[in-house]
Amino acid sequence: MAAARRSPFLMESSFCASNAKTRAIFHSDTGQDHVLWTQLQEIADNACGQSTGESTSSSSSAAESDSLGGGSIRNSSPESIFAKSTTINHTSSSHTSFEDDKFGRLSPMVLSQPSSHKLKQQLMISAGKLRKGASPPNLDHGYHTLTPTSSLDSPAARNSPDSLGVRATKTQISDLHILTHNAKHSPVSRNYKTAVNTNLNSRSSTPRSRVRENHFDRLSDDLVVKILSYLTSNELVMCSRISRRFYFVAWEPQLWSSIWLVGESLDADLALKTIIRLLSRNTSSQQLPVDTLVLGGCQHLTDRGLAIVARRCPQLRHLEVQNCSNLTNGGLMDLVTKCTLLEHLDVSGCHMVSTIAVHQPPQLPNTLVPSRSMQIPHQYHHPLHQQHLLRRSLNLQYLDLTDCTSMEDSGLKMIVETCPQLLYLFLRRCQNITDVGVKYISSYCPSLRELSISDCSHITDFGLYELAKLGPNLRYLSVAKCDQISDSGVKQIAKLCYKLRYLNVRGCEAVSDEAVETLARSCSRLRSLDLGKCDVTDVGLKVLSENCPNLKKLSVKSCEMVSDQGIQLIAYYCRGLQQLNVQDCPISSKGYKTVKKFCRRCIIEHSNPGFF
Amino acid sequence: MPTIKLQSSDGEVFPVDVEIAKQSVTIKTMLDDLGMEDEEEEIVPLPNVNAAILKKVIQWATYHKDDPPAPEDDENKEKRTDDITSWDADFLKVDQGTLFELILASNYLDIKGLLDVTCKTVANMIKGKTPEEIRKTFNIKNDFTPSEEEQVRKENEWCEEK
Repeated sequence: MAAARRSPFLMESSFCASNAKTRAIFHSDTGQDHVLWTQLQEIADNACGQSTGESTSSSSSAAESDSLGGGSIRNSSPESIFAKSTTINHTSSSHTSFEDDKFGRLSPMVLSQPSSHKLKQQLMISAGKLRKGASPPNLDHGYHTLTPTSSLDSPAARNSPDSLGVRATKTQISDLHILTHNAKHSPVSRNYKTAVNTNLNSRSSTPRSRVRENHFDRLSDDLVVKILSYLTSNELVMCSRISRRFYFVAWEPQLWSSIWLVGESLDADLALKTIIRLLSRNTSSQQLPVDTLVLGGCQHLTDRGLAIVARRCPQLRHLEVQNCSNLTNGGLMDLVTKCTLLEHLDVSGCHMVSTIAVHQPPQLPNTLVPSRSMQIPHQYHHPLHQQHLLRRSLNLQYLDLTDCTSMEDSGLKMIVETCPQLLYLFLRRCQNITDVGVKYISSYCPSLRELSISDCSHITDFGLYELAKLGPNLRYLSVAKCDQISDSGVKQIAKLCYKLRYLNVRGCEAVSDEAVETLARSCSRLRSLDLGKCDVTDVGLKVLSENCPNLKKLSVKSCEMVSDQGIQLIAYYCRGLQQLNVQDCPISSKGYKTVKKFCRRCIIEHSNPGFF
Repeated sequence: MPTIKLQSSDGEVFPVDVEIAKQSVTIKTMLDDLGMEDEEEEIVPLPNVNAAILKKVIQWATYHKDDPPAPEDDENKEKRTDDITSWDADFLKVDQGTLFELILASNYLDIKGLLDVTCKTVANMIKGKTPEEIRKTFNIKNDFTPSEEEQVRKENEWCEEK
């Protein structure tokens, strides 16, 4: 989305910049046309004003500034502009544009024949070459080279009352916009002045009838696919409505290997159904090569939608269904059973999801019944018992269960049993998880690298003792706001997980200097540490500064015992510090200036209005 | 620094550093295959690129001559279009004709960086627009019959903003 928002803004600002030049040209060249000049100024100001507005309005004005077919934005409603511009396009293409006309006739109803489309494409290319050959070689194919030819070539368009009606000031400015760009950047800039003059003169004598090429006609399908590959799924759908050619290209399966759909109101089930149906036309196989599916916040997505994906997209590797609150365990079970390659699953905010399980294959006779229930106690003690190996498991490496509020220890056990290869597990705000659940994690997923159990307030030091068994594999741990945690648990983690790079113990008020000292001595690779509201003092910071030279981020927010002295030591020894949070700490400008002096790139978050 | 001469379709000859020219995989392959001697004053004809465009391509390649080699295409990565550098953005403030010529030229010359950035620029011109606005921007003719258009619209009803 950020991309979509930024781009029109960029275009708009360039437009504004070029307007300044436009004005200059007008001053020097056309004193006579005062009315036009005033109108131009108004439009330019409008456009510049819009550029600071919200993204939708700026994008639409960018569209208008780009478009040459349209009329004035000021004196007609959008509908009439569209109607008129379509008329103009029709007249100009039927009377003047040799390619358009020819291929309009050549292109048959090709709804199911991509080959004839290719043929058309080839013809178009060869015609393009012909045309190129005919035109003087030292000119490029920009608009100014086309202006005179088109006005000569198009008597019909000249006589058309529609085209006279639609010719308006806006057209002029957009032409000038392009020409000024030429003036600055194009190698043919020496022509620009004459081009502007021609343009202004022709305004009174010749109606707007220049041939506007459809430049896409010159690109091969492969190139159009490449351009479209930068669009989101919604934008691709928009493109499929442009013309026949775009319709075919936009439904090219390779463009849909990643599907991104967003929007609360989106009927995601219908969307998935339609997309998969349309894609299926272009492949003979039942399986679609969809690799990534992101459905952010699609509250209308249900298990039925997932079932379609499960059936038709067995190659899925990456699925994000954040905040799709209608999904249930059943839908996920169906999907993970069929999409066996799935590696990345994000179901954060799916409140009804309480576990992830796989349909087990039918049992062979004479084997023990591998337990799918939670009650058999011996599995608890022997997680890698042979029976466990008979189970079908998943390849999931990344699992985000943040805000899956119905998750309990039993469901978590099922998940870690099913996903022994997990590397990343996030259980933020799964508040029903206890030490028992945490024990399952370290027993079944020995290679886990990153874990967050922040806001799981039932977890105690016993849980951390279990997690410490993950040993040096663990690089990232967040136990923020697990306020039953104390020094003892953190020390155990620090001793065994000595490759830790990130630790967040924010809000664990029982964690004190004692834990920080052990941590600093053991985990010298630490890069990020959040000690917010912990019981730490300058003593802890001293040991930290001496042992963890790689520290990049540190927060001691609301640590009331931390003073200038501790912060100065950190600044002196951890020169690579990039972020420091000293909000609500008794830090004076002395400490602040020391940090500024030694850690030049450091961003300091503070709550003292006296600092600057 | 050895140079080679590139000849545009309209006959203009541009002397270019070999290292700069070799950003074009097409030219690189050609030079490698021919095993050109440094001493020889060879002229490489480029029949698909006119002088104006070739000049722009050389300008781009000269500016980007020290770029690290492009990373392998990661298909799983989200395609971004907001990562165009400001120099490239300025460089591509040209009319549509030139922009599309640059796409064709960079495709023919096989210069991945230039092809990527030009395609991104066009993609940015498509983003956030309605089909009608896109047609207007690029002067694309709506060649659907009314019934086809209705069918396509129905297919895409789910995508409409509610």
